[in-house]
Amino acid sequence: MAVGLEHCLVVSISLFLLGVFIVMTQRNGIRVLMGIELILNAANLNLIAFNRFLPNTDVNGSIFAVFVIILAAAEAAVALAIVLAIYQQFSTVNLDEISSMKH
Amino acid sequence: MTSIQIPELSFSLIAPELILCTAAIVILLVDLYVKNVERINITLLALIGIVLAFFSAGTLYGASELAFSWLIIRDDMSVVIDQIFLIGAALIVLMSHHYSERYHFPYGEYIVLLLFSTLGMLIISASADLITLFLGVELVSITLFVLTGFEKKSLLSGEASLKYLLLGAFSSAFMVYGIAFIFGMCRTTNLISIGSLLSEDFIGSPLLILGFALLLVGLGFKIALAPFHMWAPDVYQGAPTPITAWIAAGSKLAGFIALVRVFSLPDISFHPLARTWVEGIWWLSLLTMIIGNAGALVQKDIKRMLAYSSIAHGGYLSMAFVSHNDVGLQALLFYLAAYLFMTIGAFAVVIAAGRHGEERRRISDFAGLAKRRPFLAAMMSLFLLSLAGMPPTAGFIGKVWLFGSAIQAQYYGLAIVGILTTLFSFYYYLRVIVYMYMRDEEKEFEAEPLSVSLTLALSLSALGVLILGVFPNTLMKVITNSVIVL
Amino acid sequence: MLLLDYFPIFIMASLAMAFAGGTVLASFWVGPRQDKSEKLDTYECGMPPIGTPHERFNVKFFLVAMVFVIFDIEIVFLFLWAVIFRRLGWFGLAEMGIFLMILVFALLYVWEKGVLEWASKAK
Repeated sequence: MAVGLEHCLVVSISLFLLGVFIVMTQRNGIRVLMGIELILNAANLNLIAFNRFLPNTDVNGSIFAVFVIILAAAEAAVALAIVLAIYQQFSTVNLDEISSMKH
Repeated sequence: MTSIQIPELSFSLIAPELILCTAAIVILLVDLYVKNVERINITLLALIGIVLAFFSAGTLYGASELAFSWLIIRDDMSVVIDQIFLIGAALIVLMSHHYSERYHFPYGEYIVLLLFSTLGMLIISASADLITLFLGVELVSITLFVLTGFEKKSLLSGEASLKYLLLGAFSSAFMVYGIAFIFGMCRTTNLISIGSLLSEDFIGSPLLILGFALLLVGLGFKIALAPFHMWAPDVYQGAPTPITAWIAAGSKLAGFIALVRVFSLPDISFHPLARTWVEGIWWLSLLTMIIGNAGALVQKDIKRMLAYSSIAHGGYLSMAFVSHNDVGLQALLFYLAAYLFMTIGAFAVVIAAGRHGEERRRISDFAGLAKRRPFLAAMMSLFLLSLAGMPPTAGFIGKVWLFGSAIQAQYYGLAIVGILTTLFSFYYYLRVIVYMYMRDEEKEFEAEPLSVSLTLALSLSALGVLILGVFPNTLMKVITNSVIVL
Repeated sequence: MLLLDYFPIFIMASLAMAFAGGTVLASFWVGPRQDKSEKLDTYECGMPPIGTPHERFNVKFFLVAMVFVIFDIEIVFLFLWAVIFRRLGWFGLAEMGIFLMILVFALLYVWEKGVLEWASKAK
């Protein structure tokens, strides 16, 4: 069976839902970030699949995917830095414990 | 071997962006290699860069072209918005100069990041393609995540930056996923092409609607539309105050401009799909106005109160997308400019009223400010009254225009809710003024003396609010022309 | 394109989710559970572990990792460029030169801040 657009979309939607599920349920900052990366990759898969399987698409989809990869990396680096700084202050990366705001 | 057709490069059309980028890199290098560089010199370098970019943007009026293989659009609207952004950035630099002296954070890096976030905003305003739009949005977001956490000694700042980062990245991911579907259905990421494609034939695909909806949710997070506003109060409270002002003014402006670029495509208005947006944004706008104003009522912290007020303003502003006509767009641009001045001004007063290690954070801390510092109290009253929409300030003109556009488009219900919530909002704005003028202070509290930079920022914002309120015609004319060209 | 074309996808997605969720729940409900202390030990029979398995890394490690991620990922652009390098000619070379120059500024920053020196303390 040849792999077609539908297969890619199914994988992509599964990745997306998995990502959203992780973001909603995990309380560890790093894990939440991993969930976000999953969503970004789901989007990338979509972009590439549309570009590959649909006729008359312009190449922008693949270019967009490249930019998404770069920005995901930049975001991950910044996130790591912020999480490190947070860890120094709170000695935890658990989102429920990081709460000092007075409402 | 065939050589590739190189697209025409019109660097002059992106001169403001190039100047700002160069300024940021120069400051980075100066900060690295010049030993013990004075903070004032960094501030001056940044201001020079911003002023140069401002004037180079001014020379681009009337250009109206697409450049860089349709990635960049340079129309009058983008020029007006660029200039508004640059004025805002200059005010923030002036505020930061004062604030960084109080808390000693690495100033060079801070300014570099601030300039890069402004660059992101300029890119958004000039983007004609979802790629450039996304790049701009991300540049703004990522730099602001870092800037939010700049007060390393403060627990609030770190917590705010983590919350902002996680929700910001989450919303970006939604945006990208939506864009992927839009690309799949339209087969291009170019906004102009998407616009003309949609006007030709109605592609009733649910995936297209899903794509635009996800994009709207992503951008809704960035501009804190209810129900995607939960992050805003915490982030506004925790971030260093100049950055709070920049998130409230600059980043919100940028988000709305992104929405304008996506949802006000010239050809899309006739499209049946447009009704779907209008309905969606109608609900968002209604909800945001109510939740924002209701939330502001019960706040005790001044920054949180201003955060909810900023959410409420997001609701008023998104009314322009519901009315979906030229008047709405013009009113939106005008109100964005007015909103920038009054928000930045209000936060500048919050900075000025504090001193090292002790800020006036609670609204009750402002009691008796009028006796001690009459100038600051007067300024704060001006900005708050403008936010509430009192004549003769900029806020009044903007609100009248905005509600007028909704009435013109026959969305009476929304306009009425807008007017009612505005009346409602007078209560919490006036409460601060009552505290300042009619209550005695609970403890002796001497604020720092006003520095030159902060005085400049305060008076420029006040001037902006008053000029736009009393003589709105100049900006109105420019905006009206720019939207017609569009 | 109609909604109908994508109907199989939605069925497939919901089946996949139901299966994944179902198995997890089933093992949770049906499976025997013994929460005795031996069961919860890292090794059921053997020496009790000493210290935590999560060793604290030097913060330098994270800094270098961050810098690596950023510079490493820029290769993506270089790769695309390299594929059509000849056809782009001098123009492409100049463009990539500018791009790399901006990266060099970033490298200078990292260098000057002492992130690259593993042994000594950062400035």
